[in-house]
Amino acid sequence: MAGLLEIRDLRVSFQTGDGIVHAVDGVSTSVERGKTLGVVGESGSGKSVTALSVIGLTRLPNAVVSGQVLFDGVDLLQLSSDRLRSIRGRRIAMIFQDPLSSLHPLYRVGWQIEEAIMAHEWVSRRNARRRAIDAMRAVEMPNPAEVVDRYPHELSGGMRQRAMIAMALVLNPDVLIADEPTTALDVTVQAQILELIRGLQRDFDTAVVLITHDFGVIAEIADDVAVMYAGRIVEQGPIGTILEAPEHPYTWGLLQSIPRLDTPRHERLQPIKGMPPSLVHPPTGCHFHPRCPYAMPMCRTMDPELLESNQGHFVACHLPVAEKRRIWRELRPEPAEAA
Amino acid sequence: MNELLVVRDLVKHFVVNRGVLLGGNSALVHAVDNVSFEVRQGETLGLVGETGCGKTTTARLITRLIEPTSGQIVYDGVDITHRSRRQLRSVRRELQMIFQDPYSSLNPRRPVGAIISEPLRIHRIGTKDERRRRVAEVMERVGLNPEHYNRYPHEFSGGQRQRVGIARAIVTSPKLIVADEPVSALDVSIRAQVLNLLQDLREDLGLTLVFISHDLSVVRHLCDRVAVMYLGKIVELADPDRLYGEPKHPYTGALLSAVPVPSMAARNTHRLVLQGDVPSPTNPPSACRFHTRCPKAQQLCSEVEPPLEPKGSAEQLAACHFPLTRSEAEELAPASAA
Amino acid sequence: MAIAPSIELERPGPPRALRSALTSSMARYIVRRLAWAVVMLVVVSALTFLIFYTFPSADPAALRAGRQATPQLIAQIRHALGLDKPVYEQFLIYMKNLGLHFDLGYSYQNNIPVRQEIFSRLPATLSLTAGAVVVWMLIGIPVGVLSAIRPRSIGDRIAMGGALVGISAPVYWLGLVGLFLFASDIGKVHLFGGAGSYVPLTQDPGAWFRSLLLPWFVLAAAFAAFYARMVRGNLIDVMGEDYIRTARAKGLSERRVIFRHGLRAALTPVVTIAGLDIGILLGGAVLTETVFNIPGVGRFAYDSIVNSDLPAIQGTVLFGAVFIIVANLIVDILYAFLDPRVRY
Repeated sequence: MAGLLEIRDLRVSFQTGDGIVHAVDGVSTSVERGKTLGVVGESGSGKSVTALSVIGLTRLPNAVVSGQVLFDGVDLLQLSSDRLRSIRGRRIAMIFQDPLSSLHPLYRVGWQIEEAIMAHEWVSRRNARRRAIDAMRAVEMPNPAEVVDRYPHELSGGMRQRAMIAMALVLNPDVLIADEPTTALDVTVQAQILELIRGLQRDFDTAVVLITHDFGVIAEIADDVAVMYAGRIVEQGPIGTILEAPEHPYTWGLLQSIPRLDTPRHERLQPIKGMPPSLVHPPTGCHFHPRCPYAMPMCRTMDPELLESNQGHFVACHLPVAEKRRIWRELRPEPAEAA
Repeated sequence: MNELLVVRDLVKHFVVNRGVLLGGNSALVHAVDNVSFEVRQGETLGLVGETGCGKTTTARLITRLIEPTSGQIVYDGVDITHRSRRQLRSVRRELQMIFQDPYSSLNPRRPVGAIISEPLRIHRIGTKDERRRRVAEVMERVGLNPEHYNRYPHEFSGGQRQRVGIARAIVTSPKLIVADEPVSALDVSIRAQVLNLLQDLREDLGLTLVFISHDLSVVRHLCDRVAVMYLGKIVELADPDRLYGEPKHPYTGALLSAVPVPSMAARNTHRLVLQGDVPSPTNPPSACRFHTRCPKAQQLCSEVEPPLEPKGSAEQLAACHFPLTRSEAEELAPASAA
Repeated sequence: MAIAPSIELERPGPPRALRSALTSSMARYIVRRLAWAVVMLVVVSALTFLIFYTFPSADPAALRAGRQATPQLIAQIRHALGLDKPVYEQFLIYMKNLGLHFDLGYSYQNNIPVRQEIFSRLPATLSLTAGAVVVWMLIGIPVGVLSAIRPRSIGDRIAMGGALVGISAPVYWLGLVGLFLFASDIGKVHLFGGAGSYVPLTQDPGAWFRSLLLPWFVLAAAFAAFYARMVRGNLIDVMGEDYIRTARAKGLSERRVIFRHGLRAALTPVVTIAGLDIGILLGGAVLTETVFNIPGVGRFAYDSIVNSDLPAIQGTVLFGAVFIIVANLIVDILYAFLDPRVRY
């Protein structure tokens, strides 16, 4: 599956005081132009570190990165710092969770966008300013000509995130990586921002990687989904398949445990028992087995591989396929009335 | 039907001073503006809203962490609106709070056992041994190992810390607990555990709960009645089936239409209705605060403030001159099952 | 259902031109601060008066009278100086002179107007302070930055160790050691001017420079050390912030990230502290001026204390207070320019 951005067996570990943290433990996935890959996981799943590694922001003294990140055929992990820097921000852009802390508090918003432009192109400041205002208009920022001279703390949460998106997209990158872009926003603002990202993707054919813990957001916007747990992808496939016929116990657990508006009010939620695993001493075999209600003896000893179960649907689990389908049919929440 | 908590015309204004010699430039934040509701014994009331709606301020007012600018708070028949801290002590034994951030709401320098037993000590309940036993009992009740009595907060995960907070809240056998976003800071898979725990405790201990959250799905799941707040006012108050199935207030409808639902059906029918941002609480719109963004707003809405009164049925209150019709409501919230 | 586009900015503030920074709000703030400044100066004067009268070092009249003093002579001098009046009356006279005529009184020692004395010594203090500031900034900030970029490296550890020495060493000790080693008259290596070699700038720039070089480094030592540590600490904290991650994600060069983004944020508190330090030093670096025998305000303050010269003590204290108060005010206003989140 060759895409615009292809990650092959990425592994990232950090040396910390408590030991070696295996933040990313063999991740392979890809994303194509004009499509959105949703990466779902909780804290410690490795989703953020994966994203940061793609653009080389984990090149710290104590980080060990291996594997391949192919962008347009070139392995980003092997690139020199300078060449990687020319790609970062220009062809692959990234936005983060909290726009208040992610924007520099002491510089005007317009200046920060202009800086993004001028880091990669030889243009005059006036030209850059004009383009910054245009970018803000494209993200439906109210009064862009005035907001361009504002400081981040003077804007509302939604406007700040729009500014960040404008800054990321001003150079028309091929890939946009969004790490929990709406988690810190109100629900109505979140809806606006997701709609905005969808619209921009349509207009510019950008590939989007959207990282979140919220399955609702994934359902809104993703074309493909990768579910991550303890540094690995445990399931990956098209959005429809993942939502309606998932085949990994962790995905089942996630979907079962969230209260939703479209199903009758249950008496109790079905949580996933236990706690997130340590990344310094992850469980042997399948990382999920201590919390899995369907764990078999081999799950403790053998690492399940990510295998294709259906067309484009990959699962890393030892359970036989027929068994999975049976379990899911039992678990599946009642169908929505409208559908 | 015993009303455990009654709140009447509650108002809280904060003065935001611009640091000026003769007070010319100070702004007033209308955090809570004439809010009234009751919480019946044994029920769970949810307060939902977005940033600046006043739900957290309301929580702090009910527990008297702050004093209202005006209005009345009556707990179990006793007016606690302007009581001093000393006078509130006996009430606080029965009225406890759970906070949002499990990382900052526990004193990092004290072992969790001491944190949980502190309310017992403050209210002089039991001897030292009795307290120890009570703490162990409560720790088990919330799913913590009593042997971890002497461990420090940083040795626990986020979900466990929140359990410590819950243990601390129930250790004096309170009647009413105000929970301010108790699961928002937790991972998704842990959230369900803690929500189930709250549900169990509620049944076993006969608790009355005021549950504050921005997450509409969680509130629907847990609450008997839900109040939707906007810019310091309650705009709609009803049981979840009515509120989510047939909302009356346009803001409620807009909120529901914005909630992302993890289903393919919702993906294709999802409608975005509300544009822009919430106005500043220092300068709220006149009369109906929502009229500047309301698709149904008319002249009347900017002139006369709509009272919170029954619309459609006695149990569904909405503050709106032109509430949503059934078909409008269905259009906005098709995903919501009644 | 129609969509009602009513879009509002959260805080419609005033236009951001420099001119607007001096809005009436800021102007009112300054007025309020100046009013408080006057109150503060009155309180400081009163306190000085009180301290002097509660713990006098010696009877100024007796000192003034000299060796062959007779009781009558002393009494006469006491009367002439107005020392026989009650304390509060003396104080009121003093404040009246100060407020109306800007008259700081006459030194008990030599009857020269205190104001004149202080002003004549101000250039020396200014020279000392200005040079020291330049030296400590030029050393402290780069050392702090380099240490922050490579924390826990050998260079960092050496730098911070040196900083610890710099902070701990008393300035007079450092001064004496400096003289011992480098003074042109008594030192081991004849490098710099010795104590008392100060010459005003206008008279002989070269000699002025040579005479101040050693005092500058001695005075700057503790400050450079402190600022290096502060810059290091601030910069390390700032470099862990989210907006640094964003800056890198934009593809900026690491140098730009460190200086334009990191240092800019880290230096804001440093600038304000520097303002305060300068204010304090302008009141007179007593120890340094004494060790190197520089005729500045600090030396004058020391001498006047030794001589129980109340008007002179009052004068120097007031001067120091004025500088500190003004420095505080400037620093607070400056902060509003440096950090747009601060509002008055």
